[in-house]
Amino acid sequence: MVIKQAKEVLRIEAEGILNLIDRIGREFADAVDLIYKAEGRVIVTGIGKSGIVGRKIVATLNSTGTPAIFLHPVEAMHGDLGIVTGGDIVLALSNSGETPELNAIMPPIRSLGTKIIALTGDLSSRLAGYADLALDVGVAREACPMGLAPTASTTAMLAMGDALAVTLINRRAFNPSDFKRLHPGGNLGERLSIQVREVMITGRRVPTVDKQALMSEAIKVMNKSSLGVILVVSPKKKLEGIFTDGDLRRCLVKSGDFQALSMGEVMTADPLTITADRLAADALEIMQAHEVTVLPITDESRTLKGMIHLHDLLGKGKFRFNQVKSTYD
Amino acid sequence: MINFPPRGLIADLVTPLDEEGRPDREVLVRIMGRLKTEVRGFLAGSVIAGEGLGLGLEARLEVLAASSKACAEGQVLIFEVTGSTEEETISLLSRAGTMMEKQGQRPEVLYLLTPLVYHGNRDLPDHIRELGRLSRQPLILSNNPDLVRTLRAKPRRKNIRTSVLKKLAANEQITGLEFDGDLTRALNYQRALKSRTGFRFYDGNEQSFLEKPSSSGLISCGANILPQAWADIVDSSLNVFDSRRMSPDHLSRIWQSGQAVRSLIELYKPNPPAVLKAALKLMGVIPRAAVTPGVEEPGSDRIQALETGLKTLRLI
Repeated sequence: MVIKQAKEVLRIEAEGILNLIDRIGREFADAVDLIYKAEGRVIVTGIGKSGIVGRKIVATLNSTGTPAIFLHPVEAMHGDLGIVTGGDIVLALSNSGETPELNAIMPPIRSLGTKIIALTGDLSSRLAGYADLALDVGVAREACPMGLAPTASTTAMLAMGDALAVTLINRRAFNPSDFKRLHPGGNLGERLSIQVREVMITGRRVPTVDKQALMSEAIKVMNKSSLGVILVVSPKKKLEGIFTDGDLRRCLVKSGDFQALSMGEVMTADPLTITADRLAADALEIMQAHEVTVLPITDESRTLKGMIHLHDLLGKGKFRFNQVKSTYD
Repeated sequence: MINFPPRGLIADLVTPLDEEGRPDREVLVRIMGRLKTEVRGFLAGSVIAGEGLGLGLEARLEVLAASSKACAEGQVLIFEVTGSTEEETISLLSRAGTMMEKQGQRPEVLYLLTPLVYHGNRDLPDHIRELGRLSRQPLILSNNPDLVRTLRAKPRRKNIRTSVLKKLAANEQITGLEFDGDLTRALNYQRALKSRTGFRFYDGNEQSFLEKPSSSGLISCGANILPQAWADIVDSSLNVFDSRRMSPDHLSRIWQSGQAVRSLIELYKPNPPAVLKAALKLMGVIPRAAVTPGVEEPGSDRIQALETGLKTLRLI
C-alpha cells in the first residue's frame, strides 16, 4: 500500500510537469526576453508554499547570472515595496491566482511601470489579469489528500522557474567561469581560514607617501601600484591616513588646482585597520560590513605592516559586492 | 479571459418532491439558497442525486425552470440532459434549449451528458456534434462506469475510450468533464485533454477527490448536507487563498472537515438521493424525503446510523 501510494504521488507530480511541456510557447519566450532585457532585477514574490518556491527560484536565478531578490507580499504592503523600481521585473507566484495579499500589491507595482510575469495555475485568475505575461503552471491534480499541502502544483511551479533560469543561462551566454565567479565558496573556506599575514601585501608593494607629498606625486604612486589606493604614513611608518580613487574623483570635482594640494589636506584620517594575526575571514567581514575593498595592516602602535585587498581574499577576478562602492567612498 | 466553467465546488442537487411526486420548486429554491454562499455552481436534475431518469421529461424541465431562477449572479447552473435513450436525450436537450432561450439564457447554463448510458464509443464524437446543433450552450461530459454498469445490461465499454476523448476534445463546445474512475484513467484522460486550455476536469467521485484532488474541482452531492465542509476542502485542494494555509488552525480545520464528510459518504454512497433527502429532512431543510419510483428508501437501521452521524456533527 505504501509503495503503491508513493508511486501514485510520483506519477501525479511527473504528469504535472510533463503537461507543462505543451504549454511552453510564445508567452514563455516573451518572458525570457523580458527578463533578459530588464535593466533591473527580477523580484520574485509569493506567499505560503508559493513563497517558498519563490525563494528557491531566486537562488537559482542568482546563481545562474540573473540578479534576483525575494519580496514578501505582506512586507511589501508595509513599506518593502520601495525596493521595486521601474526597471525591475516582478515574477509573481500563486497557484490559484487569487491570493489577496499578492494581488493587493499588483496595482502599485504596475503604476511604477514595472513589468509583471505571473506563474499561476489559473490563467483566468485576477493575478493573470494584472500580469503583462502569464505562464500557465496548472496541474491536473494534487497528490496530497484534501490539499493539506500543495504538491504537484508547487513542483510544477518550481520546474517552470528552473526552465526560466536555464533558458536565461543560454540567452546570456553564461559560461563556467561566470559560474565559478558566483560560486567562490568551494575554495573560499580554505582561503579564509588562514591569517592575514599570509596573504597581505608587504614592503615596496604597499603604496605609501607622507603627509607633505603633493597630489601629483601621490597619483604617480597610485598608478604604479594599480591598487586604487595610497596609504599616508609618518617618517616612523605610523599610519596616518588613506587616499583612494574615490577621494581623487571628489578632488577633481571640488578643486581646479588639486595637484598642488598635499596629502595631509585630502586624506581620510584614521582609516579602518586590522592586525596581521587576525584571520582572513575577519578581514573579509570588516570589508563587507564597511563596503571597502582594502584594509591597511598595522600593529598595536599603528605602525604599518602591510595591506590586504579583497582580491587577495577571494582570488583575482571580478568579484563584487552586491552594492559596490569604490574603496572608502 | 473568463473563468468559465468555474473551478471549485459544484453542488449536485437532490430533487425534492411534493406530495404528488412532482418536483417541489419552493423547496428546491430553499436548498439552493442554503448552499449558494459556499458553491460556485449547481448541478440540477442529475441522473444520480437528482433522480433525473426517474422524473420524466416535464418534471426535469420543471427542475430546470426552478433552479435557473434561483441561481445567484455569478453562479453557473449545470443541467443534466442524459436520457435513457438517444431520443429522450435529444428531446430533453431540445426542450431545455428552447426554455432557456425564452428566458434569455440567464443564468449561464451548461448541459451535462453521460453519453455511455445510451450510446457506445463508436461514433460518439459525431453524436455529440449532432447534439451541439440543438443547443449552442457548453457541454460537460460525464464518465461514470458505475452508473453505466447499473443502467445498461452488459455494456461493451463502461468508460469513454481515451482515443475517443481525444477526438471529442477537438469539439470546442465541450468545456469540461465530470470524471469517476481510477487514477490511471484520470491521468490518461488529462493527457488527452492537455491541448485544451481552460478545460475543466471535475471529479465526480467524492472519495477520489479527497485522496488525489483534481485541480478543477468537485461535483459533490454531499454538499447538499455539508456545504461548508466541502467548500473548505475544495478551496484547500485547489490552493485557493494560499495565505489561509498560514493560519495555525487551517490544517486542523481541513482535517476535521475531512473527517466529517468521510463519516457521511459511507452512509449515502450506496443510495445518494434517498439518504441525502432523509438527512435533509432530519435537518429540517425539506419537509419530506420522498423519492421517485424505483429508488429504494433507506431502511430503519440506515436512518438510525444517519441520525447518529448527523447528531455527532451537530447538524441536528
